[in-house]
Amino acid sequence: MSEVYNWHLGRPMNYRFESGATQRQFAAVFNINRCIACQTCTMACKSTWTHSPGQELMWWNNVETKPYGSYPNGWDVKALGLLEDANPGGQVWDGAPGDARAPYGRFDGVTVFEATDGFTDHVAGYLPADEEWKAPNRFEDHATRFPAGGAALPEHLGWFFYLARICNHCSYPACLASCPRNAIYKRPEDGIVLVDQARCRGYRKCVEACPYKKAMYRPTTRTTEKCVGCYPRVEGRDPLTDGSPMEPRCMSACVGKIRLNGLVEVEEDGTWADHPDHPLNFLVQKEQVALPLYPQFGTQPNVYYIPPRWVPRDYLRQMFGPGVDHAIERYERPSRELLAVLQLFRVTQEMIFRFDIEEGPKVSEITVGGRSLEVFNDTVVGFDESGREVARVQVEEPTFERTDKLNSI
Amino acid sequence: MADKGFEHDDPMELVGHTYPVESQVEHDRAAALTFIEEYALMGWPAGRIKGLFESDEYTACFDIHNRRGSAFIDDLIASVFGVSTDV
Repeated sequence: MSEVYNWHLGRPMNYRFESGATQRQFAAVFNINRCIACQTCTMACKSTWTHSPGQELMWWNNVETKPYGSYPNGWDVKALGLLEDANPGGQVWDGAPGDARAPYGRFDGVTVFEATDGFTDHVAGYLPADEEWKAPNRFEDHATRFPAGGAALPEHLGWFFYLARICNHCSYPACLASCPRNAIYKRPEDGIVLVDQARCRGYRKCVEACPYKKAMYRPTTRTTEKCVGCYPRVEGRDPLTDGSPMEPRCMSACVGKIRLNGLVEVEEDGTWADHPDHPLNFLVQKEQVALPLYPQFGTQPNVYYIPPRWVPRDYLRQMFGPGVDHAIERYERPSRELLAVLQLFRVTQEMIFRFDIEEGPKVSEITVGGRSLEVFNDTVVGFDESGREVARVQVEEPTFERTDKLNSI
Repeated sequence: MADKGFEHDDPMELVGHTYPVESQVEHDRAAALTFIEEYALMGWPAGRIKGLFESDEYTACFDIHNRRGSAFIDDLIASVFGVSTDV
């Protein structure tokens, strides 16, 4: 075991290898407030990567209805339970936010790496039963009765929300740390975590270890497969963008415009370099409006979520850590700059490396949370890796009146 | 199959936990306000937002409108935009 620094936890942590730092890191922000669970992302991924024999139960991207749904069934409840059993009553945060090395305070509990002795096992986990992979939407849009004339779906009269999930391409991947064959590696150029299919012997230690359960076993090849971050697109090998890095399929297919993906620069200590004009840095570091999913697992995941504002805070604090209240406050009453940056979600397939804001006129004054908020129709401009303009969008959504020609088909 | 109800030992029966909701009215208020404020921040006018609640194309908004009535929605929209004849 080595000691590494985990800035999500605000403290050093035990890990099997020395450093999780890469030159750049694949990262994303998902705005849960806008996800409608259309599953377009799920099918975009499925039709690209997992449509072959042996991959029938694999959903590298899935969208689950919280708090009822989960894929595999009960993954988060079970992972949280494992850590609670290892450290009863001790899975707590001190909650006092610090600097960039401890933005959410300090986690005083144990991670999946610290809940083991580090010798017999490197990571605490569990292997889901086959049955648990078979119904990705179980308990969600599941018929509750069959009246004459059709099936009735459950009505969510209480709160619920949709949680879109992919591999988090963690800075300290549990899958990687658990592999007895060292078949899993993290690419230094973009931090994408991949499985070397030639080395993998299908021991499934990674499936057991990943607390998010995003490493999956393929029985036809007897190896593990997982989200590859659509790395050919990230490398800019798609001719559409002339060599510029491109968002993965799930991101670029998002109908609800909830996803923003990119590459961020990483410092030697694993924290993100300070680039406040990079949209991801701006959302995660400067505004702190987007938070990691279950940071207490300790893997330092790189998909961040803008928490759903209508959900009970206790549930959200367990899921996203102590930064929830601050994040929702910022999202509900966005700064002028934040409101502009939020428009960049899903406006181009190309990764945006820098943004600029051109100020526009004041268009309205509304009341949010009992306080007045001025809305300006600013224009936000996105630039690709080479500095070329690839996105230009305004705060005020443009509307177009359909002509009297009803159908153009 | 069409007329067959679920049985208690059915392994596919919904067994999700029930999470407490302190007040269904407050929950509806929070949900409706989320919709109103999200669209208001996109520059939508009050009348157009009200249309979301009146159309059965938008199930979540429409359900709240049906449960709580038009005045409930009008009050929330007015709390964001101020009293307006546009609503």
